Amino acid sequence: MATQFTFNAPRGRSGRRRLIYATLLVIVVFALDALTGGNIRELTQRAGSSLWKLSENVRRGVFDSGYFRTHRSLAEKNAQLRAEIERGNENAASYIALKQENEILRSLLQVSQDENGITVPVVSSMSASPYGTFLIGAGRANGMVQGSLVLTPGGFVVGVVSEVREKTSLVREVFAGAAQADVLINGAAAPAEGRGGGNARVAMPRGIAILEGDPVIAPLFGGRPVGVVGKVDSDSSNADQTVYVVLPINISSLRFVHIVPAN
Amino acid sequence: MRTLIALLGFVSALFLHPLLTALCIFFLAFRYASWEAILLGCMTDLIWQPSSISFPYFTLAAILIVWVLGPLRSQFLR
Repeated sequence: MATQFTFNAPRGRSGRRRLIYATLLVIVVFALDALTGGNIRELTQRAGSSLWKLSENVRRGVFDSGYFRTHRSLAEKNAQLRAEIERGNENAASYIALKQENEILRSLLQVSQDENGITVPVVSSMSASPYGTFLIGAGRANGMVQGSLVLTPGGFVVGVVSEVREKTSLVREVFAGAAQADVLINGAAAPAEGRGGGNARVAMPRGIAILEGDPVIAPLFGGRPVGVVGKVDSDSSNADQTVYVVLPINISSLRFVHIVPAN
Repeated sequence: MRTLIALLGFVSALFLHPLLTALCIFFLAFRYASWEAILLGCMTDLIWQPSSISFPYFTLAAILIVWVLGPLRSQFLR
């Protein structure tokens, strides 16, 4: 049988040299970024958000040209109906959450009712980040402060402002992969383990009655809702039940978010 | 092919899914002595890494994988 492998004499050193240069360049870039207080990061993020905005404009331009009108009108109608359903779901979940919040937690935790804030656009993809982050189009110039809460139009906390630049800010999702947040479900507290995309998993004692649609509240965020119960997995051989938490809105469809200062 | 994968990686880092970016980095590093893989990891971290995470994992992983796979690449792949 002919051998499957071949032996190659080491090729010229140019490839290796390029690797060394690239490695050194990256080290220099991170060192400069640290020395300049994140200026290189800011430039990269601004370029990234500009490209994202450009791609959105191109996408709209192509689909608004009329070439894909028939297909597009159906797709648009479909998307519109889906969005309406999602809005309805979110409003219903939001109502339950707010009702429970008002009745129990706000009085107990004495949380301020003040919801002063600003609405800002999302200026990056919501799914491309390996760290569960996204960019919003407001920064220091707009009075953004690190630690501010990022809410969906329905009032669910979706993230926390992690870094503030001049014109953009980086938001870390509450339920980014491997992130942990303490939550309350039906008055019972437990840590939620983030799974990305607005989803989380919570292990709770099986004795606690939890139903799909129950609001999930985060005391750390002023008793605001962070999601609803999407599914409950309960097994008689296990003392715990697994609660899957979801956002009642598709996180990728968010175009605007509301920013409120953290309490 | 190399340019296409690198381009896909850069597009993925901005618009698509991080798993696809990671796959592009791995494939580039596995098949070529790819400086693009290192820059791709660096760009991903510069755009998305929050300050609460202290290590630029994508950059470190890209550098590691490019250098670790180097001997294997030079021995067995043309």
